[in-house]
Amino acid sequence: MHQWISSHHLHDSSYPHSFLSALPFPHIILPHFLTQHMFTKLSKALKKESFTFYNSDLYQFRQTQSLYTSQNTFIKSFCSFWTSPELLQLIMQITGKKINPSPDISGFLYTHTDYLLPHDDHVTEEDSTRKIAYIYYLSNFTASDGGQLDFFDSTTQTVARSYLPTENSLLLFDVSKSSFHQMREILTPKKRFTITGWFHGH
Amino acid sequence: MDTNLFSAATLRNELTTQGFLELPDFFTTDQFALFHHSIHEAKETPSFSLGLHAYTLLAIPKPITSFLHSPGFQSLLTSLTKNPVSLHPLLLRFTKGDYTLLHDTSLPGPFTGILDFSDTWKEAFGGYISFICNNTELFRKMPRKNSLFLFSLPENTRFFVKYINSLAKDKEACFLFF
Repeated sequence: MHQWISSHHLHDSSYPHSFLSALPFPHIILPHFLTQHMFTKLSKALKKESFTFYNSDLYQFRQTQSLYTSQNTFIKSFCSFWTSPELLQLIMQITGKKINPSPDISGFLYTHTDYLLPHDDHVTEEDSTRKIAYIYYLSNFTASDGGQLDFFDSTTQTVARSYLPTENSLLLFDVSKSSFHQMREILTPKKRFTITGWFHGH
Repeated sequence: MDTNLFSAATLRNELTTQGFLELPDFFTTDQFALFHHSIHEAKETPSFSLGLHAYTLLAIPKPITSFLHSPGFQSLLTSLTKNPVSLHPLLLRFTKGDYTLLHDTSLPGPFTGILDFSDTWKEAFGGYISFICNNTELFRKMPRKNSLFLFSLPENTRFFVKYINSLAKDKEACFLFF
C-alpha cells in the first residue's frame, strides 16, 4: 500500500466529512494520489494499451478493454493494488459505502471534439450495483483545453461544480439518481487519459 | 407517359426500399430565402433537460405553417407517403453544444419528414440525425440546406441528433419535423 499511495492520504481523518458534505452530491478529490514513481510508471504503461473508438448519442471517446485483461506487467500490478483489501478499506473509510473487491477498471482517452454528455451512471434502482464512481487522472488540462468534469445540481439543472483534469489525482463520487455529470468537449488536440470505473456493492 | 406519375412512383419506391428519401434544393432560391429569413425572426425558446436534450425551440413562422398545410404540399406527401403532416410539427435549432439523446421522449411524433433549413454542413460537426431500430443504426440524415427528407420506418424506430461540436463554430442545423 505504501509503495503505491502517497502516505498523507492514509491518515487524513477529514476525508469522510469532506466526501459527505460536498455539493451537489458527495464527492472528493485526492491530489497527488499515487507516489510520483508509481504515477510515472502507470502513465507510461497505460499509453501503451490499445484503445477502441466508441461513438453514440451520449459520448465519443476511446476506451481500453477491461484492464484486468492487460498483458502489461505493470498494469497487472496496478489491478492487484486496485482490488487489494487495503485500497478497498481506504475507499470504504472515505465514502462510508460497503463495496466489493471487483471494481470495473478501464483506460479512457478523450481527444479533440470528444465528450461525454450529462448522465447519472445509475442504471436502474433494482439492477445498479454501482456505488462509487472513480476517475484517476493522468493528464493536465487548462480551461482552454476543455475536458472539465461538471457536476450538476439536478434541481436547478445547472453546473454546480467543475473540475479540470489534474494528473495523479483521484476523484471519487457517489452514484445515485441525482449524480448527474458530464465531461465537456475537448477543444484542442491534447490527450486526456484517465483510468475510470465503479466500485460495486449490494 | 405521365412523367410526373413515373417520377412519383420512382421516388415512392426509393422511399419504401431504403426507408428514406431526400429531395435536395426543394424550394426555389427565393422561396427558401423567404422562409429562412422568417425563421430568424421567429420566437426562440431554449430548452435544456438534464440527461435528455439541449436545443432551441422556434415558433413556426406563419408562411411555413401555410406551406405545410397547402394543397400542393399535401398532395406531394400523399403521392409519396401514406402519412399526413404531423398535428404537432416542431421547428428545432441546434448549434454548438446542442443534442438530443435516444431516450428523449419529449419530442411528440410520429413524424413523416423533415424540412431542412440548416446552414452548409460537414459531418465532422455532428448534428446529424441518427435513426435507430433494435439497437442498430438504420441511416443518418445529415443537415442539408434546403432539402425535404421523408422517412418510412418501423414503428419502434427512434432517433437522436448528434452532439454538435466546436468545429461547427456559428453554424446552425435547423429542422422542421412534420
